[in-house]
Amino acid sequence: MSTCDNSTNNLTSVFQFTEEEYQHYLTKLWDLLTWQAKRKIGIDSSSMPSEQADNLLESILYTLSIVCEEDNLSPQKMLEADFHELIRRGWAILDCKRRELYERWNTLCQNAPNIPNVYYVTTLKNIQQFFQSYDLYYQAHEIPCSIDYPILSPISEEIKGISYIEEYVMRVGIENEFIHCFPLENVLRLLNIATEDYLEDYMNLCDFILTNAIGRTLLNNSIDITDTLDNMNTWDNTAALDNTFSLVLSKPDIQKLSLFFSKRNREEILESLLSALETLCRHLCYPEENIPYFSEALTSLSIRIETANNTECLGNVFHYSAFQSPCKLQ
Amino acid sequence: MSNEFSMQNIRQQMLIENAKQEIIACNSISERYGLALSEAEIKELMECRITALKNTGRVEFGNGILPKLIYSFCDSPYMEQDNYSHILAELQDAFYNFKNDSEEQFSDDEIIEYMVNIFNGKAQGSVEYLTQLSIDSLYRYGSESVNPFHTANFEEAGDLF
Repeated sequence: MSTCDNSTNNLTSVFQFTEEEYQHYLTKLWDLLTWQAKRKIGIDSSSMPSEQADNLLESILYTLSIVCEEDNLSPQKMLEADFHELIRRGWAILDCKRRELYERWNTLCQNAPNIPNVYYVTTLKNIQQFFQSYDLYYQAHEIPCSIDYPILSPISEEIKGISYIEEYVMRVGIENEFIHCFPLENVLRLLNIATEDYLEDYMNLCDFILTNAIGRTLLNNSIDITDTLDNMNTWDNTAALDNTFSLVLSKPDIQKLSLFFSKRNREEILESLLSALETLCRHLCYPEENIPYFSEALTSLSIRIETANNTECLGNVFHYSAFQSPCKLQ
Repeated sequence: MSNEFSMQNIRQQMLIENAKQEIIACNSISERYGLALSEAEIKELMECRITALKNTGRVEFGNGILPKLIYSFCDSPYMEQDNYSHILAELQDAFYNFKNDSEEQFSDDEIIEYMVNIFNGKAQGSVEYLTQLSIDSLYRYGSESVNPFHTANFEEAGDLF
């Protein structure tokens, strides 16, 4: 099936058209595609390469999906609408999104933590290329810039065009806000220990900070291997959190964590991580609505902890310094 | 969803139906030169058009290039009723190939103009000669035929310049 057919089926599978409605929809779509193609190639040509036509169709379908989402269009409403008007509405929405996103990106750059990792810095700069090159009329589904910096929770490849950049900027913003909760010197100290070269390495900055901060939270709350989840939920979050901002752990800290996790299965490990994250965020006054973003990362972390603990390599997950003194328990 | 209603099939249905009427209208011009296409020949040319588009990986919007080819070639001294339909099919194939090879740098009218000039000139009615030309040769010979003093390389022009 060509890209062209795949795209039409993706949109219509959401709407569940009958076969008659589907044919009506395809006829209108073909008419719109013809109109767009003639606008693009002008009067000089009557044909274009299939790839170009498929690309144009992808752009149209993406734009229509944006309109349907923004205006909450039902399938019936969409079928009854004039597709030429819909596409113009789509262009207006995309233009508005582009301007708003530009402001958000500007704010993101101004508030970025001062960690000059080459992938992080370059990617933020590259997003400017997106605003210069984004063709919302004929290639609305494209992402004309290079996004190299890996975020904690990757965005689905099904998300296209400006929607992808919107999501990316939002997620980087969430991570930045979390990083900003900690003193920069502590963050840099951790990165120096955790990585060979945090300036040049291809890595997510937030991952190390999140992992060790959660480890620190578990330790600060005087974890005991007999602690049950119920006990954890009653931890006094105002006490014993003085060391929260100290991200670097010690070897005895790792041993204590290892003992803590060894008595727990993967689900219990995940629950303890989530609970620790909530405690941490409350203490840091970090917005609660951002917490779900980290849940995917914690799921992955729980798997890594279980695996590392079974091979006595928890020090590869939580980063420590041989010179760090152990956490003093309250 | 049934494959019967795929974008490709809708496209094909529209290509055939809409173009047929325009080609029938072309007969009123070509008949002055003793050339006309029967319904069966038109249907065959439509199918050749779909095949040619598929083979060259192109999509056509509107009624296709056939009407323009008919108008441009019907007054050729090398066109006869016996070979009319067959030559049109070959010219149609050649057109889409040239269009691909030109990487969209030439308009439809330019390519057809070059094809006509070569077909009536250097090729002496041989479609085979025409279809074997590279796009560079099509441009060179086709535009030379328009302006005999034109050359892509002024050094080849000799004393004239």
